[in-house]
Amino acid sequence: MRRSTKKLLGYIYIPVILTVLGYVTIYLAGAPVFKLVSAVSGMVISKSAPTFSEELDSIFDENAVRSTDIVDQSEVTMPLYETYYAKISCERIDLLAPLYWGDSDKALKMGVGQYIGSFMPGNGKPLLLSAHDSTYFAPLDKIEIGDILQITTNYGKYEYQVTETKVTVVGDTTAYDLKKDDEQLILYTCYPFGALIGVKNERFFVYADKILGPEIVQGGTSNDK
Amino acid sequence: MTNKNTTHHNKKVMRRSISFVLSYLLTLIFAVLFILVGILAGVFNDSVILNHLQRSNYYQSIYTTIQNNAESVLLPTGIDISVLSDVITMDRVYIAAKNTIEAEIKGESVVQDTKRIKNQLKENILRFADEKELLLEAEQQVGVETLCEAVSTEYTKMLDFPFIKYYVQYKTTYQSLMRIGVPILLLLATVIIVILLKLHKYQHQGVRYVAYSVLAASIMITIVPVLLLVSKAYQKLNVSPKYFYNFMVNYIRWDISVFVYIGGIGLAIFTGLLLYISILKKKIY
Repeated sequence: MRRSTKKLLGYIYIPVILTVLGYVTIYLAGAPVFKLVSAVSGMVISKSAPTFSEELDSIFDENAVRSTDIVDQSEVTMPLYETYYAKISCERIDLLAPLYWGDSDKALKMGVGQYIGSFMPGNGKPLLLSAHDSTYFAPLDKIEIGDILQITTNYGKYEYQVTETKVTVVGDTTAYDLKKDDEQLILYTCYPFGALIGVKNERFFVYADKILGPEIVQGGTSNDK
Repeated sequence: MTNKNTTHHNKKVMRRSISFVLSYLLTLIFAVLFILVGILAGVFNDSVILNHLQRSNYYQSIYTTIQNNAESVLLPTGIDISVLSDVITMDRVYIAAKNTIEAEIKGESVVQDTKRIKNQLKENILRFADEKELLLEAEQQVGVETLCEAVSTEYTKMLDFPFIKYYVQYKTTYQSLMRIGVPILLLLATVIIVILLKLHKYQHQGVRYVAYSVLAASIMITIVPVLLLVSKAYQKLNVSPKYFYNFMVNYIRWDISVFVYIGGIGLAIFTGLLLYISILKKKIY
């Protein structure tokens, strides 16, 4: 090989060797830092680019509502936070609102929000729902004992009969017990109703007991009617 | 082979080996220098931050968020959201947010003046009550004050951009590192270059090893950023809200691109060194 060609090739292979050696050195010297960066990046890097939707998600399909006595747990889709998963209504007082899983400001702007520490209908456990008294829960002003509240989910329709209403001070956690083994629907909103301006330090609670609707069971067989 | 030839050959091999080791060290020094300069020109560059806030519609987005949050505050009260008109305006948010960020970058503390917002909102609410023929009692008067305070708190909260506080803190530390690190690295590079030039009979032979190092450092500095830019891995950043994500993605993309530009500058220096080598060679022959 001619000397000039050899020198020319040197401009390729020597920098390549130096590059590889440089990377190896940096990798070995920075191994602890790379491990730390890799661990942190696992928390801030997701599998794909995130999507930001202004609209809240929905899993509720009114046309696909089933009618059964028993629903298997596997057939119930657990909604993600701020997802529209059911509908709540009370015909007598003209209450009709979408029900969201989660009671964030965003959810309460769009409808009724359910506290995620409470349970979905059919679990035999309490449900704690809230909404603004100036919007979706304004009709609660007219609610009476004996009224029927309906919650419609994809896996069935539920009915709850109002047993009690009461006014408490804000932050009174004795107003509900989410641990009890009783499917009680608890609604609450700011009180007094319709007061346009003022600090609302009271809450209006509505309690209703389940009277109808499929029970969610583990390993059960659903029987569509 | 005579003794004289053997000694000459051994010296040549020794010279080449030493030159290669020095070139390797020079590659590392150049790579670190390029990285330090890249971070200063990209990550810790004030104008890059301000420019990318503008490009990612940050100010417009926080205006929309403040408006939405203020509406959420108003919602339980039953007051029409029209009372917010002329209270939180795009101009007001833009000026306040930009001034806040610029002041924080300079290390100055900022206190938001929300007096105008509170006064305007109070005026609008009172007009609204007047139109609805509502008589405001003492409790409701207090309610109006509380409401104005809550809206102005939302406004102040949204103007705060914690990222800048961390940025300023890390930038100060980084500048201290640069002040010590860069002169040391430059000194080391100069010493190595001088040794390389003195080691060889002809200057162009020493310059050739410097050129190898510049080329290798340029390749090192370019490969990873190019891979990141092609794979768009930076778009998978899991941060929210959306306006912060948009800003971060734009900002990181620029920070990565800076290294590609520096790699390009390195290649230009390499080309310059090649020309210099050919000039030096022509002088000899």
